[in-house]
Amino acid sequence: MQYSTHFLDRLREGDESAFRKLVDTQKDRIFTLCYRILKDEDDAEDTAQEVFMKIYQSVGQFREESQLNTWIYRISMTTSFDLLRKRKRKTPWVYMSSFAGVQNNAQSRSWEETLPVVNKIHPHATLEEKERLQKLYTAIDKLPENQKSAILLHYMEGLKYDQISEVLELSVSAVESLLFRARKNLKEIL
Amino acid sequence: MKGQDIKKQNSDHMMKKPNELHKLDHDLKTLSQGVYLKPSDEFINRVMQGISTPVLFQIYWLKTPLRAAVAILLLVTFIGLNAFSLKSISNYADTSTQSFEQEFTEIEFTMEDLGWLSTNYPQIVMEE
Repeated sequence: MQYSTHFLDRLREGDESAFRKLVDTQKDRIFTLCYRILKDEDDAEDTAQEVFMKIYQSVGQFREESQLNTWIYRISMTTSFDLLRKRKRKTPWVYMSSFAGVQNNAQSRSWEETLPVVNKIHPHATLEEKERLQKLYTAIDKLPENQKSAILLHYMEGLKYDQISEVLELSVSAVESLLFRARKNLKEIL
Repeated sequence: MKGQDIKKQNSDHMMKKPNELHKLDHDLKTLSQGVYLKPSDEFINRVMQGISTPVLFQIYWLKTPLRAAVAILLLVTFIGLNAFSLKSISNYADTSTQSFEQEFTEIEFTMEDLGWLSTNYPQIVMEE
């Protein structure tokens, strides 16, 4: 979606009706992206809300070097992955319990977590497709963060290489290489 | 394993590989066919309320009303205790000064004390 310069100016001036319009047009896309990363609806909603707060607070510094959409994608991805990282830091007991012999298999947890994601995001897929998608989502979860981001933006959000390079602040060739490595790793995992 | 078997296995592998590649590409393309989910109905209102909320309440920990209430209670208790302790200190300082002054004025010197004072501190006694 393209936004006019006049609309951007209104956002920069803190016009609440313009901001409400932005939230209305972007909320589903941002919420779904956060949900794809976090796999929890409450977390995704809280994170999407945080994303819009960040947009409101920092839109004054948006220089139009990239499109507003890609800038919003960048904020959404950073905020979601930040929350994931915080969660990982906060659960040292996972390692403790594994030492104590308690079964807490991240692999099986990830497998269970991806089923509702597939059911919600791909409601019209056949049973066989859903099973394949669940395997794929679980495999994507195991990729390094930058490869996961590239896959998410390219295959799920349909962004082109140059747009991904703006979101991830990388060169186009680096994005190509990221996607190549991501596909290679996925093949190995699957 | 015989040479012929190895050859057959390799050709099977070669046949399988493009198939798997094609399958992965197909599955990756299926990812884009998903639908966008909708957040709850109050989402926009929550965001709009959020932008007009004071910065203190935008802190992640204070997001839930219960936590915010606990934080306010703690803050009020802290301020109250501080005010109480300051008042106590000042009261104590007042009463102790008063009693000191009272005690000091109520001292009665005996002739012996005066004799001792005049020997040791004749100047003070002369001034008094």
